[in-house]
Amino acid sequence: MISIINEDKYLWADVNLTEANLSNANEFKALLIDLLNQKQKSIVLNMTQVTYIDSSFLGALVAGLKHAISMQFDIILVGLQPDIHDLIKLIRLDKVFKIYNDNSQVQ
Amino acid sequence: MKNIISKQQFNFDNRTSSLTPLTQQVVNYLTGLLTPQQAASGILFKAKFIVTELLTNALKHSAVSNASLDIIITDTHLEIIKTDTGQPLPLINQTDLPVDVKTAISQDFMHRLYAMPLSNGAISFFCEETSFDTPDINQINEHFGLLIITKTADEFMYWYDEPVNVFCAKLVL
Repeated sequence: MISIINEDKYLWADVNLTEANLSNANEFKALLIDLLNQKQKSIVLNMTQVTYIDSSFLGALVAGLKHAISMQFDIILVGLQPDIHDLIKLIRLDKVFKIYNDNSQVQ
Repeated sequence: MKNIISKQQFNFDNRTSSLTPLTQQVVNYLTGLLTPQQAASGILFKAKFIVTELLTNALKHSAVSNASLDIIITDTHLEIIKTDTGQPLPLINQTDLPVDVKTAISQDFMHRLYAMPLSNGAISFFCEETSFDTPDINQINEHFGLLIITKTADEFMYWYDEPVNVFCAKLVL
């Protein structure tokens, strides 16, 4: 579900899901929190493969972000499909997540 | 009296595996009916997310084996209506909520969600964006379903016609 691609000051990871929904939200949240606990650094999530998302998965992302921030780290979203980016902006989660078009824009 | 141009009912078997295919079926159905201008105006995007969240709501809360989704196009609106025979929304039993008055039912630093009981027994939902200086992630609600539907739809109502729950989202065409 989450594949680690690279590791430097960030953990760079791909989300290997096309449908990010109720069926995988809890497992994703657990994996994300585990990664934060194990790697002790901010995570850049490449969401390019995700074409469908629901409120459950958004809740999992928010839960992950809360855990990251409590550890003084971050979760950064990259490569959001336009519909999904629009949904995230609609519910104003772009006010709390850093979002970039691709990995090269992450500082 | 509304003029119905097209109407189609879809059956949802309350399986997670059916969520995406059924949502896509609805999107395909609408794509064939909407004008290019309507499709380009964002109606399809909104319909897709309303359907997604209504079906997710059915999965999470209805605890019954199926739900129905009615897609109705009139000359002025797209109506997305989900019905099921699960437990009613707890709000319906809150008899102390004043009729025709918006009451806040949930809030975080970005949104305030309101319910307004109507004299006909239905509940209408509204959302306001709230201003803030510094975002506080710990104040964010992790449950977005009702928020997504309320913000996306031009009108969103619920009513309970025992034993049937009806969720009705309308988009102006």
